[in-house]
Amino acid sequence: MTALVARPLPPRRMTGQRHALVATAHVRLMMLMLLIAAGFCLVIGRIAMLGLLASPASAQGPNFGSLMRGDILDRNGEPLARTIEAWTIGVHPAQLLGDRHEIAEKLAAAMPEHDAAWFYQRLTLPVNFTYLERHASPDLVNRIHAIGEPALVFAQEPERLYPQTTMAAHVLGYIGPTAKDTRIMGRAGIEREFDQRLTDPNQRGMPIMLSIDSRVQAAMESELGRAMTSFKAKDATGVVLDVNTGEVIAMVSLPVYNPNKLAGTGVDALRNNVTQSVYELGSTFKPITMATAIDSGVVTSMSRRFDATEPLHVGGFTIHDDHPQKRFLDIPETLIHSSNIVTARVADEIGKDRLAAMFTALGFGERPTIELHERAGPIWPTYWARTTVMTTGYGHGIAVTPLHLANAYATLVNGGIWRPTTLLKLAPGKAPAGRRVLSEATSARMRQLLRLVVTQGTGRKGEAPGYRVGGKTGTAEIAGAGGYSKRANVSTFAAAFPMDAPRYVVVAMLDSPVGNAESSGQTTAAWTAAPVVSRVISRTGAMLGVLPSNSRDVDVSELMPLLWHAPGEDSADPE
Amino acid sequence: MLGYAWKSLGWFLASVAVALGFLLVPLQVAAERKKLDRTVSEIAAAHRDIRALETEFDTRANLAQLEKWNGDTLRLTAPAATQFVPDAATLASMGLRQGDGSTEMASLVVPSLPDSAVKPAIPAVSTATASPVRVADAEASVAGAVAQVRDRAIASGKAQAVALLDRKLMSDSTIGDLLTGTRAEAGVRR
Repeated sequence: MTALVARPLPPRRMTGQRHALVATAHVRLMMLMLLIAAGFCLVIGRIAMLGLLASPASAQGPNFGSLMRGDILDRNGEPLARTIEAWTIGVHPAQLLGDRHEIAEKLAAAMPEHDAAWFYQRLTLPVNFTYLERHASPDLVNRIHAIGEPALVFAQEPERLYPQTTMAAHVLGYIGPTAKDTRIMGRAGIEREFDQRLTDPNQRGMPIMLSIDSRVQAAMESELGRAMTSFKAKDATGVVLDVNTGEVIAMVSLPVYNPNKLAGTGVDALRNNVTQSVYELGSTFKPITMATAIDSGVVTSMSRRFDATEPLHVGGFTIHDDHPQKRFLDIPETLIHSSNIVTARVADEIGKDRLAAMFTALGFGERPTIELHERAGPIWPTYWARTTVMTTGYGHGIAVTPLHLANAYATLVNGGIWRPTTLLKLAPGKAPAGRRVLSEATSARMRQLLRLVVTQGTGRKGEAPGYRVGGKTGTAEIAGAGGYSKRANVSTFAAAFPMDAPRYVVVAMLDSPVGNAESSGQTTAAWTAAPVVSRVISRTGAMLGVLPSNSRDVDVSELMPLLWHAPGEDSADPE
Repeated sequence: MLGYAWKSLGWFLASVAVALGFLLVPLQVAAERKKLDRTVSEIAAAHRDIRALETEFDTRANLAQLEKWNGDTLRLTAPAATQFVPDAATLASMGLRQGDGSTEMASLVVPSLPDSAVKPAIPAVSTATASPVRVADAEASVAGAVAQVRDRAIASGKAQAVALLDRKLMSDSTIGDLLTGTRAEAGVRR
């Protein structure tokens, strides 16, 4: 008997129900397919987008643009400060694979400025990353790469470079972090003053063009540096100024620092003596006093004589001459022999109001106008006694910066217009209008007088053949504890050239020079500062567009008869 | 039915071809654009390199360094006032004063040729022509002697040719150098 055991039939669904299920499945499948299709579309679309729109990876590269600073150029387009991409070499000490001693040896062989022990110490530092070299050449990078250690890494980082190293350092300034502020930004000079402009994305593509002429700057630095070393001076400053525009062509302050490598720079070197230090500039003030006297009508005739027969006693003070002539001196003779007594008498006649007004008009009452943050205010007399008026007349009792003096001389010779000084190159014809301080006639007279000082007087050593230099020496005793020092002095020579149509003012100053054989043992400006000016003008006059000529000069014939020469007078008697 | 299938396949292929064609255009454009971008980036890189090299040059040849080199070797000085000429008339008048010794021409400064440098060339010719006679007489070591003589004859001939041809073109000292050179060569060969 066969028993059939059949699986009980499942209860059959209704046909309609089955159809509905199939339809649902189809719908679901369809949706799934659409989703997948959408996914594919998305991927393909993205690929197409990338293929069509994206730029190649090589074009992007490291984006230095955002970190760049603008260039600083001199007036002829020579770069004075640039940002370049410098290679840096670093190491991740923890990730080193090779033998540390061996690597240190190889590094020392490639970079001989440090020994293997120094590198070993660096390779074992308990830090994640440390620099080994900041300014590496591509060649050095290749050699380090050849060591084959993956923990040694290289990167190109933007770096500020001053190609002329120490030249014009005080003008340019430097960038970097400070103890309080870790941001890398301009900390001195133009870098500080124009920090915003140099880093502004819209403006940094346009370099800043300075009024500095690097050739003149270099000549001034080398000549001043030589004089400073030779005379063992404490510091030295030099300025070359365009008299018609107020552009600073050269600004030198020594000692100098290297903005590329600031570590170990002293405070003295960081100070810009041209704008930050004030000095009693002595006899270089006498032409200013004379100009005031002529302009205000106190002295109407050049032949007017003043008593210089004996020292002048006023209110407990005695005013001496360094080279007493012991006679009556007229105006040209006063400047030629640099008589303190006569200048004091003239200043006394001018009076406090007019002299102070002139000093104010020449900008001596405020900090020098220049695009630098490092500016010092002058030391202005707190009380104008009669003696104060007299002493300020020959540059004692008032202290200004060398830039003040240079600008005052520019005003004396340029026709009497005072203009603010600037470190930026001005387009031709864009010089500021300035303000009239002296009359045209007074300025013309001052040109004659200053030229006479160089041809006949104390400034002989400042003459540069063919360049018609005119100027005034000044040897001021340095005020210290217990009065003026007879030993230390500030020797200044302020000059302008060519005197028949002045173009440039040149000021050189040496602080506390020590006499030597070169200066016949003298420390006076005539022997120390004047030769510097002479050499600078000889070296750079032609470059500055002044054609030397032995056949041209300012006409001083009307003043020559006023000069009286003692029989057998020593012509080399500079103050 | 079969015809219909072929027809739809044909349509399909045609549309694929057209679609591909359309796709190729943007691809081509993209490729060109990439090339352009690459060129632009190469130009930028070249600019960076130029800038870096310029900066390096400026740094190595900065004014302080140039002055040091000048002081060490060249010793050039700034021109003096007398070396400037104010106008063309003065410049032209300088030529007129040639005879009075006030103007020194550059050629006067060049070291003049020593007399001994030219004169030996002529005796050398005479010995050269004379010696074959001697050789023929002696008939000893003929080959060597002839070789010597030929060398000498050539050397002196060359020297003369140089002197004759180029005396007008070259400065005396240059010819002097050449002559010394040829004589030295002749001496070595002998």
